[in-house]
Amino acid sequence: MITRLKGATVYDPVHHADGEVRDLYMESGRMVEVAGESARIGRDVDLSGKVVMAGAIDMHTHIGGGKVNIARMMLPERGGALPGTQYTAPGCGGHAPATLTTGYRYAQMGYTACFEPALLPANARQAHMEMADTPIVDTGAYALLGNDDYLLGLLRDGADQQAVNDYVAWTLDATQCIGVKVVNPGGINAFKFNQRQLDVDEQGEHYGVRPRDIVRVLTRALHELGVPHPLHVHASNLGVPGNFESTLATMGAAEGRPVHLTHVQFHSYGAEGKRGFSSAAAQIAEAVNARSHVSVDVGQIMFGQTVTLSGDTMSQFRNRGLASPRKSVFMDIECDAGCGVVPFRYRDRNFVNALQWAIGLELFLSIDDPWRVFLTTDHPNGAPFTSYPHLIRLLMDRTFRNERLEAIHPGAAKHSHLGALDREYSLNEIAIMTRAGPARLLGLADRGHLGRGAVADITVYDPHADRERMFERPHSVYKDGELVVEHGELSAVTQGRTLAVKPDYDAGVERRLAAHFERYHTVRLANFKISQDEMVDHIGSEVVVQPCRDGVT
Amino acid sequence: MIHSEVVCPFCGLLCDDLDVETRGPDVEVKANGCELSRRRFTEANVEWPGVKVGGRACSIDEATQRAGELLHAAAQPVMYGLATDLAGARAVLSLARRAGAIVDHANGAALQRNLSVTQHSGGFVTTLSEVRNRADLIVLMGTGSLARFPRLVERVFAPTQALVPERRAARECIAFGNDADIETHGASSWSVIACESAALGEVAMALRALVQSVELDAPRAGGIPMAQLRDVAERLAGAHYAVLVWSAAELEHEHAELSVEAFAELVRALNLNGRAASLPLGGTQGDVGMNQVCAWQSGWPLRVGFAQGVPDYDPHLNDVQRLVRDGEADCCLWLSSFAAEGQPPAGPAPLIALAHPGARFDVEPAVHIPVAIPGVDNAGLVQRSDGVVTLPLSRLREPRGPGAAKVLSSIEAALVRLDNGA
Repeated sequence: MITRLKGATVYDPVHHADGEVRDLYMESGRMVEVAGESARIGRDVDLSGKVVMAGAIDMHTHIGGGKVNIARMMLPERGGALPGTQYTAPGCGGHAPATLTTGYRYAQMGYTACFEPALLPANARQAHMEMADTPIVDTGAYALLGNDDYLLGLLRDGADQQAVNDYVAWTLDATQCIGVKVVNPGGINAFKFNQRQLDVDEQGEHYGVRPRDIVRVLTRALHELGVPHPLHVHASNLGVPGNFESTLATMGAAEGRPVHLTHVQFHSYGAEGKRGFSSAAAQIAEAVNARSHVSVDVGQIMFGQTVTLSGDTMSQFRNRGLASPRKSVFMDIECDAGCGVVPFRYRDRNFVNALQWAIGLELFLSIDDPWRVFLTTDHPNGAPFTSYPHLIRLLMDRTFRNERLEAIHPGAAKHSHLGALDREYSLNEIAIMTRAGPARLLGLADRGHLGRGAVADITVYDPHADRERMFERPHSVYKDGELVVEHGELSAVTQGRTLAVKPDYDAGVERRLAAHFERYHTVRLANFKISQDEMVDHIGSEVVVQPCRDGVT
Repeated sequence: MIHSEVVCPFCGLLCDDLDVETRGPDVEVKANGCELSRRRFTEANVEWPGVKVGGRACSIDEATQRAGELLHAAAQPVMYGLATDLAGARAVLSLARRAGAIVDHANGAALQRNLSVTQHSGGFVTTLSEVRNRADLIVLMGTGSLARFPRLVERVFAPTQALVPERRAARECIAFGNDADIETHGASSWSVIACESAALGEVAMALRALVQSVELDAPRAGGIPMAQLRDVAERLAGAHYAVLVWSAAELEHEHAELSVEAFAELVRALNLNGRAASLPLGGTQGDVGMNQVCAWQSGWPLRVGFAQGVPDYDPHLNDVQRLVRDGEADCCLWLSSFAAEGQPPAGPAPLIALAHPGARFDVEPAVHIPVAIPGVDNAGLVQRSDGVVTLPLSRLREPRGPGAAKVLSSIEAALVRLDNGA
């Protein structure tokens, strides 16, 4: 039975619909095309006057895994308890939300797919279980590599690129992931050996590998394997004044291959001025504009209480004195990586925080190509994901933005050229940045658009001049063609699926790894790997394998 | 038939190199099992008791219906024990939300000893493979736990090979506890310093001062001569990767969380200039996994209740053993699937028992449903002591009864029917 969505104002950048009024058709969870009137149309929905886009995709949000749960357990005083409804379980909102609440909230905001950016391979089962317990939205994750003793040992011993490629492909398969992330390349590992900082061209303690080398081999591996999502990089020296140099060097380390720099706001700092902290957003934006192989997500901060949780033990530990409330948890993890959880409050009257806020917006407004910049707050590190509608308003409404600029620390405002940036994002650009772009960057051919064959993940908005209000509460949301949000409220709760990639690899790598696990680890390889059957039977989320591109050898 | 690389679920280490043989309905450890695992796998062969309501044999449907009725009638139901796998944990929470129950684990007091320190001031923790490969100094704060984690030395502290061989070669172990524990479960190369469990906190506080070059006037701390503590402090300060190991369950003295805080503060002090981490041991009876599932689904860890319709976390008030004892709970669902021993909390409330087939009760439960043993009768997932690694359990033989997750779902379905006026 075909459902017709009539008279919608459609924003579908992939199909060049920029506010085009048209009908949309869906059947059995997919978009279809129908010529003329058809007897097969079983249901008509009048969407005249409504703005329609594909379901939004959050390509970087910490929704699953041990460190998210550490945050929940260590901050019981944070409040946010929520009652259940006819369709929803009781839970917790705010900056360390329960997984159930997270799914409900994202769906209510018109999101239909969310990606955990830092899945620790040893913790993969827990991460996937938390994502399976995040209702409605489809999920996926990027596996952490580049601080694990195994890879660093390969590089120290001069292993060839093929060995790295096989290991990367095997890891994606064993952990059911869609991409690879590296956090502070080599730095988390170096911190285990008491090294307290690591520059891009500096050797890490013990293995003697440089961050530059790690970025080079991993970008090459993913490119040669044909994995659509580029290496997802949390660069060296996060948060350090003057770190824009490290960010530029990290871009260079990719040697022209696709690379994605994440929460780049935290990596766009200069060291000018009497406070030794300034904006380098202009330099970073210029570099992004000039390099078509580079994409970024911003990691915008918002004022208020949140919790920073990150695999970057080195940086988190360095910043522990800023914890608010004054407590933090750190972990060295399984010869894999690590984590640090530091609650934090961003204050608009604090010079540094205010300038961080401005830097994020400068980046959005100075990077020209909306296909290569993505809307994130690095939830919850910069702010909870529920702040996205407010962020959209800041980007689309210059007057509102300048009003907010007046309210922050005046010294910070002066140190930023945000006030001089006139640009206002259009609905088309927002659609690119929150749907079409993420889908393309992740290689999701049947998402992020509303063309024939696309998954029928659809968000319907009531247009409103106040864009925050418009994006906060969509009128309705369809997930796989089923109405899950109606008049702004949840009307059905469905189970999302896990999106993953499986590039080819030489089975011989498994023999070598099995020996390594048995000799050094406390888990056997056979018990480490997650099968697709296990994902369905025990984790609770079916894997849908996304195609890789033809590899480049 | 011999199953290899079997995960043993019977302590928090989750050793996964066992060979287990099934012969008909019986299972037996053939290789790589410790005495605890051999005992538990053999115990799994006990005769399967029938389902009972009020001591009378009945069908499983009758039993789950009766359990639903008891929960429906209760104003403050509680769920305790909760020794189950992760599927069981999810089913526990689903039922708890529906019934408005408070959830707590049999190891709740021990969990809270560690968690209250994390909630107050945080910490720096590490995991089993890190210790195995990177540590050059291991300090045990208490030795009583060694018996409950029998292969800890073999698999973590003293493996044959390590990724950082120079660390392994240099590795020293110092144990504050008693000789007898070390003789049975430790290694002869260890330094043992006699120390009472209740004095461990004071020892840690003294060490913390000494590693920061603070002069201490006292001749002893925790009953140990200061000269000996200075020597330990010197080794801690000079270590490349020092690991402090304890088991909160072993610390039975009052306000033991203050001892745990002292351990965490010692590690914090060591991380100022060097590298150190804590290894709190736990994970028995599925406590770590149950706590994790509770936190991610509700937003809060165990000792949360749903009676108000919103999650209500109170680690002091929601001590379920005390609530049952003091008559503040009017129905208790007790779940214990890994071991036959252990009793449900004593108290006047009617008891719904989902139990290991070998369980024996001082008082006949209102409802008694034997449940499958995870890792023997049903496949599933469990979390390890260090709270990071989740391992798969296999089904080794034909189950003689349902798993806890299925039983809890049936009880919830009965409760839904009753709530809707059935």
